[in-house]
Amino acid sequence: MAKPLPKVTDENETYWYGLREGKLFVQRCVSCRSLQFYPRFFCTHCHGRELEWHETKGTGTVYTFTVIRRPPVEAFKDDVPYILALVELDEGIRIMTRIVNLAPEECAVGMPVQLALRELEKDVVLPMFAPME
Amino acid sequence: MNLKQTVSVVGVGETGMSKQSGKTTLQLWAEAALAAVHDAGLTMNDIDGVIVAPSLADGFIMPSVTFCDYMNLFPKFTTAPSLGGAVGGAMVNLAMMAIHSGACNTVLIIGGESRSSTIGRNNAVALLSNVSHPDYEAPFGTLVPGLYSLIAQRHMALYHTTPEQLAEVSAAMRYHASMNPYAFMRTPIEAEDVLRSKMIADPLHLLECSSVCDGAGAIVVTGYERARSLRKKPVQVIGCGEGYTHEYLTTSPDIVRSGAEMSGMRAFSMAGIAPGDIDVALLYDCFSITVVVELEDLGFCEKGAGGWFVENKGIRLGQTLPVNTHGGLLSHGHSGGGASIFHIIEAVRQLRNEAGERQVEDARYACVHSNGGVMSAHVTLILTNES
Repeated sequence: MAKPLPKVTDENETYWYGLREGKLFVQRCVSCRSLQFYPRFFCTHCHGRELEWHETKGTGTVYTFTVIRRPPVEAFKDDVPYILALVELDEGIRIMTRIVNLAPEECAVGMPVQLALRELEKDVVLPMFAPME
Repeated sequence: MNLKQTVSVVGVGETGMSKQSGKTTLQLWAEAALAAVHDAGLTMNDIDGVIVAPSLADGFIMPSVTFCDYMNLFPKFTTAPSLGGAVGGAMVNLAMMAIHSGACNTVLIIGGESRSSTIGRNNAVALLSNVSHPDYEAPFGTLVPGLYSLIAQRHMALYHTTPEQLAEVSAAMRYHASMNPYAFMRTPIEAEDVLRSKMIADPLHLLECSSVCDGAGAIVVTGYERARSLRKKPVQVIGCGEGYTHEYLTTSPDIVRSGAEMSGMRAFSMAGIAPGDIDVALLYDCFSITVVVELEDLGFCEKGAGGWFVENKGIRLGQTLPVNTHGGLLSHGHSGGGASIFHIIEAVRQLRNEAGERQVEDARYACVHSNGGVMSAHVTLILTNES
């Protein structure tokens, strides 16, 4: 079984293309100004239909993490062990990601991190994070 | 709650748990169903409502109708709710609604499957990765234990929950299973054994993760008035509540708490009792951390004190709040989302005074909690033998 790849749709394409340009976008509602992730075609707070794409600073902290030691599927067997994490961006949004450039034993909840984009096969860029310099 | 308006559990039945039963899900469902109906002193002709927990292994498009086809049953009401592990409590809630509305009188509820024999552990693990978002989570390489580890790690960072406290959850489950002939893993272990077992996803070790099994359980539910005329002491459902805050961990408002706060509040409020009145708790234990979070969210202790509670108050038989006296998913076995049927069955056995050496003395109130997804879906039931 191959690595699962994200599916690009008209609802989320700006998010995925943004990553290719080095930008981590979240959506902001034009009416109520709420930020949201993951992308929807409507605001999850006020259900308005007008949303804009807001470029985040790319900095945040480790909200939580774990070290995956057993590959979920065969395709991940060369990746283990890796740090799977939820990062809380400075904007208040949380995203799932990996922490890279860090030994698993050194990871800690609360650690400041910054965006470190990683390209997978097939032109897909995933937002990963590395310890803040 | 007015008992005249409630429903009662009047029959229970289960197959044993095993790795390679060699049986299909339908066979296991039928075996459990026949046992439960017999236990109730009824026949299949008395069943006019059927609810089953969908099985991961089989991919039935219409699981409950498929089962009725196999059994040659023609119900007035049937469904198979897709709520992951929350389905156990949810099936009882649905049965209550169906009976109250007059849609049917006597409901057969079944959970479990032939998960190990039919698809094996690796396929089950791969299929279960669907519990993570396919676009925003799975591409990073998610694993169900890893998702629960994310919860455990933060719980430890915020509340100083220790690995020993989590390990004690697993050890307590095994202690209970050692007294249960239906349980899959019965060899006693202690916390040190848990901590020495292989690390799956820090901080959760192998023995803190429930293992994939085959096995099914069933119960029969009917109106309270009718229940009183049947052969076994009826167990009344006096409280039920549900709570949902997210599907995916990414969108959870706060990963160290859960919809169990709402489901518990709703259930206890309906029942008119408090957590302190509960004599035995049957809490969904796919991983050690879930018991700790559920103890807090259901109100058995303060937020953050779950680990402390396990260590200092105790969840073993004879301690402050016996939890999962049948051995739980961790040691009785995990045969699918519907496996909290075994938690419900054990609650009924305790309240009927049929739990043998696992019996909690003078048990009058039980709390059963079912959890689905990644602490995503929650249903709490309050049961009593009071009449």
